[in-house]
Amino acid sequence: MEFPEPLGDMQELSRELHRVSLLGACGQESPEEEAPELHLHRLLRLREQVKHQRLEVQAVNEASEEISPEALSSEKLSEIAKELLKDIEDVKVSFQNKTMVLQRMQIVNALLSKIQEANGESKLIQEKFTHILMLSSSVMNLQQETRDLEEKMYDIRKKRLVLKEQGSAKMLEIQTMKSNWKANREEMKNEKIKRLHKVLKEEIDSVTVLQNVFQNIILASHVDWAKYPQLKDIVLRLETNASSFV
Amino acid sequence: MATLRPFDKMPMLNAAALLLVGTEESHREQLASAMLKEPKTFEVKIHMAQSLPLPYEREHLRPRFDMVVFLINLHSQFSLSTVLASLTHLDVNFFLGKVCFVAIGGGQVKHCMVDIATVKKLADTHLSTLLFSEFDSEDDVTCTARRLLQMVQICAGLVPGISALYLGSFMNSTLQTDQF
Repeated sequence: MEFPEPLGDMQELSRELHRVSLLGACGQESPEEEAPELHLHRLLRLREQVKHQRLEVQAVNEASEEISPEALSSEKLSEIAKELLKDIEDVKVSFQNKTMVLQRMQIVNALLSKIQEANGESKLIQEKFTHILMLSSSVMNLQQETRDLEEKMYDIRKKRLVLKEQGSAKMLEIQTMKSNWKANREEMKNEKIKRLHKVLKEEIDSVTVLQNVFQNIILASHVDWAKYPQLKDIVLRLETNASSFV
Repeated sequence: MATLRPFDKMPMLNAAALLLVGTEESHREQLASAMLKEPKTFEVKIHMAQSLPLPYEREHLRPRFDMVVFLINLHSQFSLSTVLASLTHLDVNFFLGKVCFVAIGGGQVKHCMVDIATVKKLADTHLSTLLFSEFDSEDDVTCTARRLLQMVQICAGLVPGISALYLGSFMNSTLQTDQF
């Protein structure tokens, strides 16, 4: 081959190669012309085709290798079928999600470009946006308030519970005290204590009588007992109510 | 060796082989001549048969078939039954995109002996594409020929990046909402 002039022809050849590689094997070509550059195109195109055909045959070969007798049992096949169905469902769902995300992105992009146009419609959009912002901030504030109120309610409920418990404890105390007192009363019906009680009562009566007598003596005598400390002392001691010792 | 296998033999360089199976000879001739007249960058060899299985005598002379096209004449029940009988002689691996059904004559509903729904169900159960055509006018035949040429090109592996398996999903409508 002749030595081509540097750079000029090389550039042209590389351009041709670039064109061929972009076309792949689907180039439009008329088979009559067999000029040397087109011969190169043809060869490259055929190479691509043969590569692809080889890939296909290889794939079929690999596929046919995998079929083994154990794998053909019906349970295994149904399991495999179920798994494949699940995979299909997963792919469908992910595809739907991706289209949704894509559509959202498209919408947001369109909105942004619309706003940037800064014409009448964009003002409307801006108004809507500010309105949305205001509403969402008020929503957040109200939610915060609800949370506070709920907390307060919770505290109050806790206190009420504590008080209720205390109340019930007190009631229990009262009940036990009452039952104790009743038991005491029952005890007192005991004979011995009855006798003692009788004696005590008699003593208290006599003491009360004596107290009254002395009080009347002192009062009847019209003596100013407040002046004399001894008399004052006696009078005050006479004031004690003996029946409180029952 | 009664069944036709897709990857039995080696492929030819820059060529594709097509097998047309159908009872109506006129349809086959029309389609074949239209396909040969079309400008294309690769060679097409078209073989025709009335039904499968193909006779064993010339087995070694046949090339590797890249695609099998079944022509169903909607005006006759016989063609449908022939096609159904031929389907059993085809290897399972063919149905991964290398089979196509063409239903001819669906426009004149009065003369249709075969129900279109039957043909649709046939194509669906075999996971193959279904084309409808009338072979009345030249344009119709040319159109179908072009479509089949494209499909043959893909099935023969002459389009890098696309394999025959994709044909099923590419040719289905994407608006079937009952699938979602």
